[in-house]
Parts: sequence; structure tokens; C-alpha cells
Amino acid sequence: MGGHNYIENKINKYSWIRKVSAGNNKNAEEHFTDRAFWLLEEGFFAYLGTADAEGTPHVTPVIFVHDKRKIFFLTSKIAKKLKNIRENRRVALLIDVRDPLDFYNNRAVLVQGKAKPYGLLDSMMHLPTLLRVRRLLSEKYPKYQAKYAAEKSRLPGPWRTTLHFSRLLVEVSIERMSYMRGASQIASGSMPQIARASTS
Amino acid sequence: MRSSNSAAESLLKHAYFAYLCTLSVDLYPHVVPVFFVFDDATHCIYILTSPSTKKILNMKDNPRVSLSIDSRDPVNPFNNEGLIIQGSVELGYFEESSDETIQPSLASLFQAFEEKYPAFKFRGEVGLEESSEILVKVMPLKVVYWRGPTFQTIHI
Repeated sequence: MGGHNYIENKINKYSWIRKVSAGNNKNAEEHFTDRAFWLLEEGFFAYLGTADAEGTPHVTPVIFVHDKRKIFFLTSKIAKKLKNIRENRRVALLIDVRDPLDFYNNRAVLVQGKAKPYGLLDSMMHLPTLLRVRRLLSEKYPKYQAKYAAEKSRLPGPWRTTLHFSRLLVEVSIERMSYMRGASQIASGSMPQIARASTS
Repeated sequence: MRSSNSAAESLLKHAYFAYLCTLSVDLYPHVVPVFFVFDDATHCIYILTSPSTKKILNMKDNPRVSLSIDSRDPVNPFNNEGLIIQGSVELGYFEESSDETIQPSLASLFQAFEEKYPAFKFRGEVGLEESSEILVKVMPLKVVYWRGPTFQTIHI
């Protein structure tokens, strides 16, 4: 059925994956890393899991961008997720791509890591990162950015500026990734392995 | 515009996956997509999954969970809507009750799963063995409905 092709065709759109995957002596670790990063590239939303210090979890969708080491998303200053991150830096992001024809061909990556909200001082000190994330977001979500710009008056105060000081940037350092297909976990790795594979 | 409660009802009936967040003992969150059905009579969400998974281990230690159930518009973010549910779980199957407003029968739950997910082959047994499915009952404590940039607490 077309199920297999749907995902494979999408994967093959990414020349950097084709390039990295071309070698014959490719091991499973590298293979998993390619696929996991492909999901970070292709996934439109991430489901962000956080928890407060008492152990109450919270999960909410976010739009996000990444640079292979870190994932970035924006949050309103009054959001529950930010309050949780300030109590407990550990977070998880689930990013999935669904095959409309075949459930068993769905792919997902679970990223776990430590989150760091950028305060005013961090934002000034890391201005290049901030600008890079802003560019990545407008490249990945041009339609959203256009809608937000066109309908600014419908946005509540904390949402009105797309980036910087009324919304905060949050950076997640990737510590661990698990790659899933259908309902099974295929592979997982901690960040040192992932970094090794992605730079080789 | 639809009321938030009918929008919530529609999400609970028609959204394909729920994203379930559980916590490990060291408070590391874990998020996975799960199959679910909503039971009108008990106002609970039922999840069917494999027993030997990280999420089940997590829920044995900490029964508090969160679920996100949403629908997405890739063009207009103002049309995005969803539910964020916080609650607690019971694992496995609980006592049968003749009153379905207290506890739906296993048969009716399985039927609900089969109707919602015709392509998926449920193994048809519920228990803690490797070969069976485990049923997770989520009792919602707090439900937030959001659409675009607006949020409100609702009751389901």
C-alpha cells in the first residue's frame, strides 16, 4: 500500500538525510538519529510535557524550531508550562508525523531534556540565538506569522509581540531521544551518542 | 460560534489521538500518543495500551496524568483548538458494575474502541499479561478548553 511510501517520500525530500543515509556501513545508531532529526524537521507541533515540583504533569502543544542540539519554543509569561519549568526544568517533547493510511507507519520522536527560559539578561546576552530562532520560526511558520500580524488586535496582551519581552523564549537542551514507529519504540539514545552520530 | 462545551464534546469524540503525559519518579515527563474513548455516562476517558510500557510504569508510581486532545489548522492558528486535561488514573480493570453510569462494561468499551479505530486490531483481552491490553481510566480533575489564543476552564 501507499502507506510506506507516504512517509519514505517525505523523508527523501530532505537531501541531508539522503546524503547521511547513503553510506553502506551505516549503523543503527546513525540511522535512528537521522530519522529522529527528520521528525524534528518535519513535525509541525510538539506536545510539551512539564511537571510542577509536586509531581503534577501538564501537556500542551507548542510550535517549535530546533538546531539539532536544542529545541526552542515561545511561551507566554503567564503560562502554566513556564510556571512548571521554573519549578522543574525537566521536560519532554513528543513530535509525530502521521501516515493518513496506515497507523503502523506513524513515526514519533520523544525528546527529553532540560529547559531554560530566557530572561531579559539572557536575551541580551544571547541576541544572536534570539535572532536565529526568530528567523527559523518565520521560515517554518510563515502562515502563522502572517495571520498573527494581520490580526494583532485579536491577540491578548502577552501574545502581541511575536518574540522578545512579553513572550519568553525557552531553550531545551536535548538529553535523550527515543524514536517510535507505530506503537513500538525502535531506538533511543542519550545526547552524547546522538551528537556523535549527527556530526559524523 | 459553537459553545466551548460542544466543541469539547466534539474533540473528545473525534480527535484521533490523545497525548498522554506521565511522570517518572525523578519528575521527568514522558509524552506519547494514545488511543482513547470518552465515556459520556461516567465522564471519564479510557485509554487502551500495552502493559509493559514506560507510561504504565510511570502511572504505577504516580497516578497523576495530563492529556492534550486537540485539532489543528496548519494555516490559521486562530482555528486551533484543544483540551488540556489534568487528572488521575486507575489501571487495569476494576469491578464490573451493573450500573453503566458508574462503570461501563468491558464489552461496551471494546465496542467503542473498535468503532473509533476500525483499522487497529485490538487484542480483545484486558489484563496485565504481555499479550493483553491494559485499560487506563482517566478521571479528569481540571479541564481547560482553548481556541486560538483564548483559554477557559470547563467541565466535561
